[in-house]
Amino acid sequence: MKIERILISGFRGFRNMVDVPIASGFTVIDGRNGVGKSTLFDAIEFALTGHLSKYGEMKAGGESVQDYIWWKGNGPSPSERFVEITLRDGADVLRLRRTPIEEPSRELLLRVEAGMVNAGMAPPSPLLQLCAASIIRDENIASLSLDLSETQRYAKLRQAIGATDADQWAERGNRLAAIARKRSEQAKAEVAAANSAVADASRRIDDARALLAPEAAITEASTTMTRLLLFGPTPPDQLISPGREFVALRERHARELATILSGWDEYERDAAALAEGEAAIEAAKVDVTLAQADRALLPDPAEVSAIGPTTDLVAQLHELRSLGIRIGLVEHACPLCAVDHDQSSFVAGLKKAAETIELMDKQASDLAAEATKRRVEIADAERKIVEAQKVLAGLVDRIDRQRKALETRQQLLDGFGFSSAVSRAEILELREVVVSEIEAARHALRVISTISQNQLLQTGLAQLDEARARLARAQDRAGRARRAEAIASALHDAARRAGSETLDLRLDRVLPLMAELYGRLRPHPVWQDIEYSIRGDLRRFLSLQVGDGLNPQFLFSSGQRRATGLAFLLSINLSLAWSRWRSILLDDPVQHVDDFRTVNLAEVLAQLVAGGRQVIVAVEDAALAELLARRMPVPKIGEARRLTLALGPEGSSAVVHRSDPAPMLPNVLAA
Amino acid sequence: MNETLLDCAEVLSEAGFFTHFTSITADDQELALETLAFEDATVLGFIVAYDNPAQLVAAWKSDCDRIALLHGGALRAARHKAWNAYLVLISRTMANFGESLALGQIEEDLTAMRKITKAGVTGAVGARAALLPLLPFRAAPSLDPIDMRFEIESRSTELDAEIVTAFLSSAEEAIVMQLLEDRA
Repeated sequence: MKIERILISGFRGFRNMVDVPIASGFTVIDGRNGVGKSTLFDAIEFALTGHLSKYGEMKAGGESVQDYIWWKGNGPSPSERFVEITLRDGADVLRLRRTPIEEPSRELLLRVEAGMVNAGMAPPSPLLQLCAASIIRDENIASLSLDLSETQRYAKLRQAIGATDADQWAERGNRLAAIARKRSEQAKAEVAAANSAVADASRRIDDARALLAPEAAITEASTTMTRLLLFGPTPPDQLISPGREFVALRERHARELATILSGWDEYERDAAALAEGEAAIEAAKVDVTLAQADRALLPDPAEVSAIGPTTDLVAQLHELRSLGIRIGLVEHACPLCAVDHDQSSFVAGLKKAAETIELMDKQASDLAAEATKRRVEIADAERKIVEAQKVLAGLVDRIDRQRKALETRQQLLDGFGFSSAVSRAEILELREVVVSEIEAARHALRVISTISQNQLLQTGLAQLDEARARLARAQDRAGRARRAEAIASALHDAARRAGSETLDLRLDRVLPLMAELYGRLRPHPVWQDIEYSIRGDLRRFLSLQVGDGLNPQFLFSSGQRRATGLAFLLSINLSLAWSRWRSILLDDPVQHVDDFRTVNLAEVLAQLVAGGRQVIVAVEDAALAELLARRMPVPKIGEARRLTLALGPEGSSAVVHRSDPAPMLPNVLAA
Repeated sequence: MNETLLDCAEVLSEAGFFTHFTSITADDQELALETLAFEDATVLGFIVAYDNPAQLVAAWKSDCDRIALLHGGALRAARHKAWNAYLVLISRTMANFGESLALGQIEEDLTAMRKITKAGVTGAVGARAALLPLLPFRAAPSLDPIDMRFEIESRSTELDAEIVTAFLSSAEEAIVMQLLEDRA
């Protein structure tokens, strides 16, 4: 399949519709910077894939190349903007058209794909990969070839010629191996868990055995316990519960005896003091009575006031006399008593009243002192009553407490069957008996309780059997998982080896072509041969060497690297085993390449054209375009073309010159 | 006849070139200059063979002139084709480093005919290497589709055939895994 025509309208720098006819042999296009040479290659890629790969994921200011695919200024309406390429495969002609609003149908794309690739051999997204391998752009010549890492270079070659499904099989094998590995790990973990369960069960059995008491000891302990409990013959396991109750009861007795003994001295003091206390109470009662009698004998202070003038009366008299003085005689009569007086008798009367009032004042003061004295005596007597009553209450309270303590103690003693006359020695003796019974009962209980360990032992043995069975099952599963893992790994290895070995066989056949292309392009005057080699096992590398193990990546000049890169990229294209697209597109391949190596490239392109390939090459310089065009074979008119692009008056790109080179004269030397 | 030129003629003829031996004599030269002329639809040219690189470096210019003198008429008549005129200068013995550089400089002289130089040319293989820019590409290898199932199968013969078949089928991996564990 070859390109026959490119029709562009409102795409990138092409504002108006431009028809670019492409020759089946070679087409050489020239034009200055910015006239749209690269856009022709963009148009082909865009029509085939809907993408412009050279910009990658580049973004700036929130914009990407997607925002600049279609003409940005005034121009054709969106419905009139399009890219259309015409593809010819023998008699079949396909037109692929994309617009801002419409994409080619799925059916049409499948027909194009069927014409461009060999079904069954093509990798995924074959049109994208075809464009990547067939459109060789100036800016990518070094970066996609010599400047690639050795692993990337290998991957690029593998993508071009490898068995396309090799990776899928290797990946399937890898996934299977990963699953098997995971299951094997799980089985291993199950074995570990089962081993742990066996160990736990064994340990529990050991513990139970260690705690189990001998038979004789159990018999002896049972005898002791029945004796203490005053039971008849009783199975040992039925002695445990009553035995625990016995111990609890005896412990309570021991505490009570301890309480009795700890308060023994106090008890004796209380008992002795009880009689004395009662006598003291009686004496205190007498004291109270005497104090109350003393109080009763004291006269009431009010009686004193009743027998003479009071200070209030004296004060009123003073006030009255003062009033008489201030008023004076009123119509020769005393204003107080209305008795007629002259001035002298009135003054004499007032003087006599003053003397009388003074006398009454003295008498009132004496009476008040007497009343105060009596009140003090009464208060004193009443205080003595209170104190006597307080002493009495204290004594009563103390005696009550002593009596209650003695009663409590007596109750405790009654509980043990002791009379109040029991001695301390008897209590101590009883306590020793109780403590020894407690110890004997506890020991017997400990021994008898080991009977339960026997049940634990039986349970442990059952658990051990179960754990061993689980371990056996886990071991079996682990064995199977290990074998499965080995087989899965072998399958993965076989898939991987199948992929890499078949690729190596293909590489052996392709590498000579790569070396030949290098030899033809002659990047370096001294190192005229290059050696391509594959190395590595898990990671594969494609190494390039010239001379005695020298790496051209670091040795060659910029132009030499570009020429070497061209050899690599052209050989990749020629090696595409699955491609039926016969076109090779070169966008300005000779930048930084000198005239001599440009001639070499022209010779290579001429051989490609002679071999049936379609070559479309764009260069900036018209003379260079002429050089390339002159070197190409032209079997007949129309199979070769020279085009010149330039900007039109409105800044839109256009084809401004077209010529179709004619075949050269034959048999010049023969003539 | 010069053996090297004969080898070149054979290689060129196989590639579809018209070839023709010419012996160019000159009054001031003791020996005639043996050349091989060749031509196809696009290019034409002349081959001169030397015993060693030193001889080549010393004589190529005068020999070029003699060829141009003899074939001047034809070259002028060739019109555009004359742009694709080649002068192939080959030496039978190998070149040292200095001679290689000198040969490279001759090639990079783009005046008049396009020059191709090559040292150490013996036999048809050497002739083919010297004439490489003029010859068709070695055919790109025809790489047949690879049946990866067969390739994997042939590399896993030690495994249970049913397991391999299951792996190579479209069965889900869980099913393959189950079979693998059952058979393990």
